[in-house]
Amino acid sequence: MKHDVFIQRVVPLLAAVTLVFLQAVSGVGAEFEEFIYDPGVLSPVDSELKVVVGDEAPDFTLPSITGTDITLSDYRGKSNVVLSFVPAAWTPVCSDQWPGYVIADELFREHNTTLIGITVDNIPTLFAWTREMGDIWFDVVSDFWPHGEVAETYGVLRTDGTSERALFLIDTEGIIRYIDVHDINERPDLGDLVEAMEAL
Amino acid sequence: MNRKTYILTALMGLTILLAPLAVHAELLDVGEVLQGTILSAPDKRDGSYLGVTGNDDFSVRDIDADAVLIQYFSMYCPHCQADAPDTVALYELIEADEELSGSLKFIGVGIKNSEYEVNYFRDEYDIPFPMFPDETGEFMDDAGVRLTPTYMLIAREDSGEMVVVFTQVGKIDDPADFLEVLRQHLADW
Repeated sequence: MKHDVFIQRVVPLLAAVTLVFLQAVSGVGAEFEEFIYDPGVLSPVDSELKVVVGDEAPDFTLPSITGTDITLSDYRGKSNVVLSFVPAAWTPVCSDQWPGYVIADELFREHNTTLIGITVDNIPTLFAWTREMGDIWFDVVSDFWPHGEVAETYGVLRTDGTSERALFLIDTEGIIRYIDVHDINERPDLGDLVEAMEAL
Repeated sequence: MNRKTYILTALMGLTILLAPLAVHAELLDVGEVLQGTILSAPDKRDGSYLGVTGNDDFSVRDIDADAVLIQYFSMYCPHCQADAPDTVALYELIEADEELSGSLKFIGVGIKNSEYEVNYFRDEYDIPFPMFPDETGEFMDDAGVRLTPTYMLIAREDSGEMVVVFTQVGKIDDPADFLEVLRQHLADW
């Protein structure tokens, strides 16, 4: 009985208060304040990678928000590719990550690298969300149907149907050269990605 | 253990667990002291502007000024990107102002940004005033900042402490108007 009291009352209280405090430490851009759904603190990683550095990147064709289809292998022999998986539209850290890439176009150009953003959201959602970010110069593709198929192929589909916050750097020969499956609650440092592009 | 002991133990555990996370959940109010905010040693140019010499970390209260305007920003925030040219204009207005030049200093703090990200932002928009990274979000917590951009004007008390005089969440919009708002708050202080 005493155990029940502890589990039923104190544990949820403890969890709730911890959650409130943890949520309070993430910063959000003022422009997104009214639109953002805060899922709270999530398990850092919730999937198992199916590719490693040195593997050929699994090919895919996915629809983009501009209405065209994007095929990964089209970039072979032309440019490196960064695949930026983010968990879902309209969530706090994700709404923060791509807007940074908006002003970093020069960095990607300097390193002959094409940036492709991917989520498991459908096109209309991605369209509306990315319009809030300013001038998106990179392609954003939808891995919505079959749901999360590309994320699953790379091993970054989480058990709740969202994807990890993950970066894959693929060279001009289609080989994966850098993988960062990041803590979903944190934004990867741009400096680390630039270092990886410089190392190619 | 009885029920009371269980709850007491749990609450004690909770306190210990949350102690390092003790942050200001709300933005500091006018009249409150801005504590902490220890910035890394500036380079020569920034150091000379701030009146801070040496290679040591320093606190906002070490800045040689009667008042300091802090912009809490993120390289990743579109409003901060859009606001960047206005922050440059504001800095130039302050420096050209007979009354405020030298007594009001302007710094940027990149919350949850790395040094690389802050420097990238600074280069991208040719920001002339000093900017510091807040990688862990510690400075943001010192001030209770939750949204970017947030502007916080602090002024020196006789005790040397820096007290909040004015805050604004959101963009500057008009640098000249914004400067007059700052001037008014400093005059009323």
